[in-house]
Amino acid sequence: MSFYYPLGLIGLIGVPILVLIYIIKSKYTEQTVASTYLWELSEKFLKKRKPISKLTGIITLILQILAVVIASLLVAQPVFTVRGSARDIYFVLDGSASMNTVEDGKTRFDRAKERIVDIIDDARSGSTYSLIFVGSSTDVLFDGVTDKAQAKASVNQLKSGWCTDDMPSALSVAQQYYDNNRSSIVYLVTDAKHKVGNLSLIDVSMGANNCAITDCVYRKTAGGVIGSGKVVSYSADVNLTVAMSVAETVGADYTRVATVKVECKKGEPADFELIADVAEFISVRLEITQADALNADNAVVLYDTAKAQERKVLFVNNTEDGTYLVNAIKTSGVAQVDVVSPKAYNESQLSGYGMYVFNGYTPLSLPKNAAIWLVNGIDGSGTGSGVGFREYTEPRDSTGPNSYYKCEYERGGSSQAFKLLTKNLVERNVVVRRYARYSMVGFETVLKVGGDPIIAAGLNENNDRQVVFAFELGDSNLGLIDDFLILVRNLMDYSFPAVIDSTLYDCGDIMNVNVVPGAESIVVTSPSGLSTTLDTLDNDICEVVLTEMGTYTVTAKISGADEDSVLYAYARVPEAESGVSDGETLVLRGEREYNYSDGYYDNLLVFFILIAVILLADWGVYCYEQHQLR
Amino acid sequence: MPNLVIDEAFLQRVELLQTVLKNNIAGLFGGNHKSRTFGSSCEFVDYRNYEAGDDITKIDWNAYARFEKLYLKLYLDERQLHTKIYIDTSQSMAFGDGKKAETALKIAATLAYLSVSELDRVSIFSVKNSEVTEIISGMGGKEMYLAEIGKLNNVEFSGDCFISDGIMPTHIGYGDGLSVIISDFLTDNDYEGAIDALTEKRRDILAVQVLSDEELNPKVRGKNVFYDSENAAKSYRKNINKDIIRAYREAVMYVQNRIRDYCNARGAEYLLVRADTPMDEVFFDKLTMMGVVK
Repeated sequence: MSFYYPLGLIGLIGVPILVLIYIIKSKYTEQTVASTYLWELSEKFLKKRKPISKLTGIITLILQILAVVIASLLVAQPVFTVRGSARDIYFVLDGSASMNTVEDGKTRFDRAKERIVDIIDDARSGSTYSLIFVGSSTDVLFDGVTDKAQAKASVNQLKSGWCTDDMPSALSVAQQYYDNNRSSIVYLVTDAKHKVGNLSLIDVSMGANNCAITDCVYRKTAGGVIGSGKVVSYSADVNLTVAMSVAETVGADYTRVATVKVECKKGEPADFELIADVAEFISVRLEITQADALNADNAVVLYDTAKAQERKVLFVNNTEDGTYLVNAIKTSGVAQVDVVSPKAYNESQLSGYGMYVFNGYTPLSLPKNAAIWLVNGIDGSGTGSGVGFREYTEPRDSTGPNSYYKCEYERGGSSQAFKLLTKNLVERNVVVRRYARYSMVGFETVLKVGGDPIIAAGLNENNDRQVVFAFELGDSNLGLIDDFLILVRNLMDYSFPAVIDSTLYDCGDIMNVNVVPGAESIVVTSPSGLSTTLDTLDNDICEVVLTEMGTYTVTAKISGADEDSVLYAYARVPEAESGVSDGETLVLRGEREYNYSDGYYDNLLVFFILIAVILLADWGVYCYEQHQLR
Repeated sequence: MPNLVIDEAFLQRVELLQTVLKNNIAGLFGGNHKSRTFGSSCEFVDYRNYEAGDDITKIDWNAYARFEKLYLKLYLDERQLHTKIYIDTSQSMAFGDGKKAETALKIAATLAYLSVSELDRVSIFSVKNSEVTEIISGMGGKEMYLAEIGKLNNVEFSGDCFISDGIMPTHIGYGDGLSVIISDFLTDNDYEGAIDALTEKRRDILAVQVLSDEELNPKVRGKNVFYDSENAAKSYRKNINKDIIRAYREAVMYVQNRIRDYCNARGAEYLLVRADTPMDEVFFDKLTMMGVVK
């Protein structure tokens, strides 16, 4: 036994002092009585006394000594060291969406927290507690905490997320701790049926049935809207009712416009389709009307993205082969392409377009706050293009092996812009008869000849997105192969992107927010109301991790525009979180050891006080009986 | 020293009482107690034939005139008894507030008055150590009572008390009245011998045990050393707790039962009187209910 504050034991000096006073003090009261006969006679009738009752003679002294001892120990705070009883406990806590499932009135996550708190309570003092939280990311929330109250408070503050968990990642973190201390105990607290080796699995799932709605889409028809998707029941056969609701404006209540009953077999997705006559709406909500263990995955909200993806293009054409490109641009979904000559462009000073394509012509001054395509610029010297013209290559023969330059696709780029530019390309053979050598700094090369980029994209001196074609389409086979349309679409998406590409995500997904031309600021507001202002100066595309379930609002302030561009995206519960997970095989590598450190027991005062209370109670009963005898 | 005060009104009420005696009356002539033998009282009982030598003054001449035979009228005999009251005058009787002594003297005085009212003679004795000292001797008549009873105020309570050793050697008398022993009987010393001796002499016996409230129901607790008031060498040292109090009460009951049983076995009467009990209650309730007086 040891003490936190041994000096407190000085108070024990009071014990011998009390004993001394007790001895010195006159103990017996002398008095004369008429006759001692009856008292002496009473000895014959005195029953054999219990040993404990002999203490009653010195009860006052005992109580005084106890008071002194308890007071001293209160100050000294005794601690019993218990050898090898402390544990280093690590909790890997699943914070995925499925942990929000409500079973028996509590969420699985709440139950998990209770179990962790129980383990902390039961652990010997001196143990350490660490917690690895597996949510949208894997985070070590606290490490090596010895204070039980602090650890429990931290646990109780936790909230489950809505993403999928990355258990292997969490386990790799736990492995690091385990490698440092093979005697540690790692608890995996989850609702998945993981197969564990030297981990201690705490399964908080109670197997309640859950249904989910998936694969939801809608399409507009002449007369209204058709919503479709699938519903699935994971643990039981049920009949579900699926409803479609629409909202006409932002913030308006949803109006239910159609319902359908779906017979759903356990584990088998069942299709549904809902048709309604609705003229105008901004969003469609498809939902299972019955409540279940996890209601969050019973509804999906779909937003109309058409408005966000509207594109208006001015095509300044100075060559005869511009038609290929105009058609390719139209094919990519652009609503309006106006084709004008350079003369008309210069005379009319046309403006107000989101994108300008200069084919075979470069204006002296590039338009600002708009995407620019420079196709076969004569000298590439348009003001603000950021492109330096060096020379044209020699034209090749019309036929024979020297009739073309063979192009190569750029590989190995890692930026979001490069990924977008090269997305879905089949990489057919592309050749070109002649091209211009440009010097471009900070541009992503898509196609090149040797070291010369012939198709590249990047920001020009106006900080606008710009695509450069260093050759005339008529001098290449590019317009004749299938990669052309894919490439044009990618270039369109890059140079004149919608603010967001999609309106439906899974929680945990990354939403790419495109910094559209002229965007002064873009603010993303989460379902809980948390607003984040994106960095529009240094990024073409900003990544936003969708950690919350519900509707995100993206507000883009466009220079010169009368109104902000407001878009909505819905983050739903990942499908993997809705069903019953079979789990993975999770094992910590390395043989377990049992070298526990020393723990301690510091609740001794409770015992002292308990003994004091018992003695006090006995004394109280004694006094009461004496009083009753009078 | 106790101060005995005569309550005249109470004594007048006591005059209404009468002592009930069990044994044959063998006292002196001239008393107020009816004897089982024929005597010279006014109460006519029977006739018998005259025999030579009979007192001719008791011949019923009217009967002779009618029957021409001599008949003698027989009257019930009345005897004067001698009530003897023995008071334990040891220190234990006076200890504390003196209530025990006062009560003992009051009982003695009242019984004495009752006896003199019945034309009996009364002697009151002090029993101290092994000696019996006569305080009032052969007192008869109310005038003498009033003159003598004040002597009780001079009684000193001290020393020890050996009742048997004191009473047995004295002249007890034979069948001539009531003997009363008033004591706390808190002693190992023999008192049974005195009762036996009085029983053998065919005297009616009344043993009155006077105990104080503290003796019956002690309130003392904790560590105590008790010294005996009659013998300082005797002491009792104990931490008085509930167990000892319980045993003490059993001891008190034992002492009471022992005297009661002994008396009952010998036709004697036993009365326990709490020191603060009013005399009214003693005489008009307790003694009446016991049949000692009526």
